[in-house]
Amino acid sequence: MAEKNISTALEKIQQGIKNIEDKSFNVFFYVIDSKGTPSGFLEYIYETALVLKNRGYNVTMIHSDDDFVGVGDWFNEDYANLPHKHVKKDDVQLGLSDFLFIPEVSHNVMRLTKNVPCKRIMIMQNYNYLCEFFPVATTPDTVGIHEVITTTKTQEQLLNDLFPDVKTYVVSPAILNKFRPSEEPKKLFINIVAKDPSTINRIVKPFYWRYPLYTWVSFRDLRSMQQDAFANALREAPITIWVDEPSQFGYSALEALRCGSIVVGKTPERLTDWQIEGDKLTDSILWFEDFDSLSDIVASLVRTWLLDNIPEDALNVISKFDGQYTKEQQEAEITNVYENQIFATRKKEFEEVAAQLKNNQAKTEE
Amino acid sequence: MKPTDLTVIIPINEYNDVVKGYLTRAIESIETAGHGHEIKTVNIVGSKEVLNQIDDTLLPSKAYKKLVNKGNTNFAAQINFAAKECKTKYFTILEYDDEYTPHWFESAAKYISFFENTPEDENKKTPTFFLPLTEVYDVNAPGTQPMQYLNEAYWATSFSDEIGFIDIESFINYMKLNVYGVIFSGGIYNTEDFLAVGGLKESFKLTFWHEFALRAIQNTKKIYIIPKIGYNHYVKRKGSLSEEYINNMSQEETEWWINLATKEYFFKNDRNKTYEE
Repeated sequence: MAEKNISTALEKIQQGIKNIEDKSFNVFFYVIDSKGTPSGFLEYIYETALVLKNRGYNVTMIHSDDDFVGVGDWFNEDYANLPHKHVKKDDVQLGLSDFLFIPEVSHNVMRLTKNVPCKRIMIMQNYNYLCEFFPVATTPDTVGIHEVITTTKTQEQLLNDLFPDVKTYVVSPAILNKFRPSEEPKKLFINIVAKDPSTINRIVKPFYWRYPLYTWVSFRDLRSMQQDAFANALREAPITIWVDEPSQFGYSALEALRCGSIVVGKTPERLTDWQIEGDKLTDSILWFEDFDSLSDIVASLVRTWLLDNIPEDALNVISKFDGQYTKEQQEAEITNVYENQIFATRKKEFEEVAAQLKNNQAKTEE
Repeated sequence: MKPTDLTVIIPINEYNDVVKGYLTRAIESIETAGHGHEIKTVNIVGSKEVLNQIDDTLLPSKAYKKLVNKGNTNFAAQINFAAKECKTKYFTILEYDDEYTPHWFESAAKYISFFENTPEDENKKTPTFFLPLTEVYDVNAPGTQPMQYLNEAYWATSFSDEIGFIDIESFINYMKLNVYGVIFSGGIYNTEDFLAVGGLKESFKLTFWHEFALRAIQNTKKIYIIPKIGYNHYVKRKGSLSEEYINNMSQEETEWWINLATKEYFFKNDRNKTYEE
């Protein structure tokens, strides 16, 4: 009986090794529905998924939303066309050699899948979400998560400090190639990228009150814009005001810089890798601490731009990030982390278990 | 737009020490704005009597020429005359008591070159007349902040059909609301198109530029406001044409010239309408 159990287990493990070797295992990404609203959070997950699909892996996006809308409205159709399955309706099966990547906001999924045989790894993009969605006294270990992929070294350090037994990886986000400057000279708009609608009023109204001479200057709210329109808006405008205090990476700020827009940004609660130069804030962005000072900054910037007095090096700040946060860099990191480390480590684990099982089998036969 | 493509036209109808001071400032602004862009021709246009009073030492280079106008020397006539004599693709107008901002030609060149190099399609004609954003200063209060902007309304959201461009309806409405809200000096005009449209109507007072703009758009020309401050316009100078209109022209006459512009732009030729009280 014991011999039969070992044989069965060994067979499964060997099948697992074979699946990993010939890429016939499944890679599942659990996603929440965007309901048509653009989300940098989902963008990151979908980009990772697409890279792996293009590298020959069986990738499926899984969800538990009965009215799943998906990303088609605001994201490229390549991402929307990735296979999607409802965990219950489509009877998703998670096998031993499969991988399930779960975002930090889906603690419930981590809890419910704790005893599932596949390898489960958390993707943590925003530490604040971890604090928000993990119940008190719960750690990744509590829900059987022992490995976390995050997006910045800053967050990785935070995870290592809090959960020293959790293995961490960094896969940087990518700023898509569509975020690039235009040949066309800029038009006079000021973009506002802010999640909270009340922020728009806090920016625009005091500006016009303090500077009535500029009541003709147009502001543009970029919330909920489809990605291509968003990129176009960033390219068109010389100035982008960015307010996202809980941000852990600052996609929109980097996207705006890449498009040649001067970024005026509210200092986030937690600075990320690219926002720090040595021991100070990067000068790629004009930072402000409180909204009271913003009108003066914007008015001065508007007039300087209108007079064409912006220094050349201020217009070329994005060159500091040449080669960083590119699609190519992200794909290299995905290959390194997912293929060379996560999948390869799983295969190694299986091989060690197989060796152990063979050993046990030999002893049993003896 | 290349630097050799542009002629600066300075119409002048009087000369004294005060005018000399203004003209000196205007010329300095050409030299600054033209730095690196080598404006090849500056035509100071006026009657022989006025031009003879201008000392040649005031003119910094051979690019500066005096263009004698033997005919009508009102402002519109001076512009028409100088435009006909213009040998470059574009011309710009500098009132002698105003000035260009330091980067105007460089800024304008970027926008104009972009439009020149963009293929035209039936839905989107290339603009050939370009106006700057203009800051207005009180000539009697030097060193102070600008009092207002001109041409700026076309960059306000939903002001016109297409942001940055003048269209007939919004222009007529704006003209009736504030005839002084748009300024055409400092603008850069395609010479051929300016003449093809028919130039300015010399019989007009106050709204000769407005009537021209409407006529140009009616003839499928496009006027674009470059979103850069290119011109500083000084007001409240005693004896200036705008002061004369503001102080001496009755409300009734003002409205008459505005309405005339809205009627006459369908006609290429000047029908020499005159105001009678």
